[in-house]
Amino acid sequence: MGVPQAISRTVPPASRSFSFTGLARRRPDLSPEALARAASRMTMPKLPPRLAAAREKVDTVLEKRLGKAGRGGAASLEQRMLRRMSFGWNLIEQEEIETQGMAAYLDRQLRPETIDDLGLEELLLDAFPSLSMSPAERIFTYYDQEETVFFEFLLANFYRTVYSPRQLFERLVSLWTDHFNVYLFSDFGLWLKPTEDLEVIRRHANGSFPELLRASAHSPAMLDYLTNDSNVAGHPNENYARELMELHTLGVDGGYTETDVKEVARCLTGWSFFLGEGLEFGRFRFFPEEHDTEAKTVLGEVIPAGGGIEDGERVLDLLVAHPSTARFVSAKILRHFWGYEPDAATVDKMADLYHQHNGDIPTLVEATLRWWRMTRAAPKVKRPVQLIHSSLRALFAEVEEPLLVLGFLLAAGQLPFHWGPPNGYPDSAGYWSGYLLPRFDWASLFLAEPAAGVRVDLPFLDPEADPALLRDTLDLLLTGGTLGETTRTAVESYLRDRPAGRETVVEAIGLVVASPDFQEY
Amino acid sequence: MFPVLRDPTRGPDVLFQRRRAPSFRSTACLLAAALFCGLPAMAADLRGPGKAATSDPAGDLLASTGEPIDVVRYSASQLGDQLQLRLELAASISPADSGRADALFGFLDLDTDQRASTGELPVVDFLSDFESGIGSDVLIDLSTFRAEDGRMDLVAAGGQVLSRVPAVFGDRSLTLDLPLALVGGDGAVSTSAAVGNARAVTDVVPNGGSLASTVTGQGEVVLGGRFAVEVSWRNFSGDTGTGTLVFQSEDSAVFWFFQAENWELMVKVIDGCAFNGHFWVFSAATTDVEFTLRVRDTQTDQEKVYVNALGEAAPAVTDSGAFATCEGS
Repeated sequence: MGVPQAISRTVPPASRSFSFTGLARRRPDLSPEALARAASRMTMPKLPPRLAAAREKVDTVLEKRLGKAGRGGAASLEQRMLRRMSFGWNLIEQEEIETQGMAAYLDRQLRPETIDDLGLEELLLDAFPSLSMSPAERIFTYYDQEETVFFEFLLANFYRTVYSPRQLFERLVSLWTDHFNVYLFSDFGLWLKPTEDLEVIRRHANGSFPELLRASAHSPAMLDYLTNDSNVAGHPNENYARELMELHTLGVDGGYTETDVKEVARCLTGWSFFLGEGLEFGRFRFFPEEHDTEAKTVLGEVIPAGGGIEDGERVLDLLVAHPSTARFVSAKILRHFWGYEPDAATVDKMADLYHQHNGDIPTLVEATLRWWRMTRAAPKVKRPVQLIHSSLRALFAEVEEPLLVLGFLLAAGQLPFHWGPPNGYPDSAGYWSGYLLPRFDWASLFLAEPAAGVRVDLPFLDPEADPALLRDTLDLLLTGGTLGETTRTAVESYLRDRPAGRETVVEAIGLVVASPDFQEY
Repeated sequence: MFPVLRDPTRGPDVLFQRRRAPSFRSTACLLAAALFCGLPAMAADLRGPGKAATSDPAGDLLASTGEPIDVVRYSASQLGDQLQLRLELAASISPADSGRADALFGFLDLDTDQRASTGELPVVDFLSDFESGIGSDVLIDLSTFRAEDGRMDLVAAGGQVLSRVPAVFGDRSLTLDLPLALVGGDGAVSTSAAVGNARAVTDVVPNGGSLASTVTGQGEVVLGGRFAVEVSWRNFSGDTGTGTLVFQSEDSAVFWFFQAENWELMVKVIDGCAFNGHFWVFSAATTDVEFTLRVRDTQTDQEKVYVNALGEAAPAVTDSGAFATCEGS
């Protein structure tokens, strides 16, 4: 393989002391000051015109719906579905799902490759070159600008989750990113995780779970994060083996024993990645000399002596076919899209589907998002990403300084790829509902220019309009007309009591975003 | 349940605050109902105390995804201490757990206190442009049917599963017998239903408003757990009335017309399925006034009517071919 030009230009001079390990362990500064400095240095991409054009339809749709919506009422099924399938409902998506019909809309979202992304992916790969580099290219090019890798990676995630028309796919990426959590600041995480994001998570998010698991097990980012690179014959490191069974497949009550953990660890000895200084840096590699070649017994099955990499592959085969994996993965998907406590009968039915369709993820998602199931879905508390993104998406906001928005996510406790433990960001009401102040901060500040660098340019938000009409407009725009009467009254009173003007409208938007109605989806 | 719980700060008239102008779709369906059935679809076809039924136009589908589930009739009947709900469909259906394309999914919402201000927003209201105007106190979730126990979930407002209730699938019908003790209320209900296949909601019933029944009067009794019996009379003065139950056993009942101590009519329904594949209706009366005896099989809604003319000594009824409805019983 020849050395790409981009790399040959950026290889550090030989005279300079250069250690991959030393570089890898540097951390970007995440202080608000550093984020602001980085924001001022980086050039943010402008949204593709076709993507931005969606906003121009809003006033027409709003005008059509004002006075007709079921104000003060419960969300329609279409609204519920959109909230669960995306990072935030908005009026244009509502129009689309009503026009296409729910089943057709879902079918389309389950085949993201058929949805025109309006030029977003091309824009991101062009604007953020570190995304598509190999780990070696990345480290060669950015060895002294690790914050660029960090910010490009997070910004790409931000743009995709807020603006991509392939919203269900992005939700799946989020689900599997948590399921196969890799802390970005593990040893080599910053250099390895962006590659894993593309080649493991995004490639398989809407594919087959067994393939996703296999890709993850061969992922240097995962093997680095869970220290399987130090799992060698005679000195097994059970870290990855344990999480592979507890968090990735069987679940903690999935019927495995401590002995199974030790045996799986032995099967995975030698599964690591190349750490040398060359183009293969950060690629998966099996080291036969580090592999435990003695016989093992995993979940009752004997894996004979003399094996190599196939020992680990056999473990993966056993795990993906195990009934506990089918139930664990099914329950995870149900929790993500349906509700926190799926009943056992539903999980079992989904597990049957898992087996019938070889862990096909779209099949499981489609079965989860059935209309009759979603009709009885209990509300979920928005995690910070969902809260912030849903406010941006509802308002068709143009984010001029997304790094500052990332600062809010950091403060609210959900900066992407920044969860240290291997279980991923929690998906529970209890964890998120007790941490409200950063949510209120976001609500009160995100449109208070230039605090968050968010611009909302919607001509129909006429500050001089009658407060009741303005209240209805905000209700329709932000929630589809589902605000409760308490919030509606509070918003209208606020609009009446304050001097008419943009500032008051912005504050009223903040009231809606901070309201209990907006905290759930 | 999803956030359909009412805002406790909202007043009892919240549903009316939210009421929307009839949409094109609801207006069109109402027109279709009048065209196809000769009936205004919103008006339930009330047949007397304890029973309400409504026809629903065939083909009034909300979506054409997959195998259409198309309701043609929906009824609610109080049968003693049971509330019977029955859906009749334009084509064959299968239970939700069958995995078949014609599997029936959906929800039957019941307003057991017939007060819109209590309970939750019924499913019809957030699945369609129609508004039921009821507050759903309990619902039946058709997706929860399991062949193992032949039952489905009865769910309280708030989402708690109260019980699993028996459900009987016919080729084109679904019949549910709900113990009033479980459902709550006095047996009078308002109800609406939203049904579909696995992939889409395809029909709601009624097309606007709800189906409302009243409490069973003294005139109707249920024999054999399924045959509703009612007798009405007219005397020589032109006075009319309904027979009042003196007493009943599992299969037989005795009625009086004018005075409680003056018994007029005995009727019994016999399960003759093992003999000739029919349920039999036998009756004897000690009167010459005009009376009309109606016996209705609540599982099939078939009805037999026996009339005695004014001034005629009532002959005995020995109808051993009354109901050829043994299949599935």
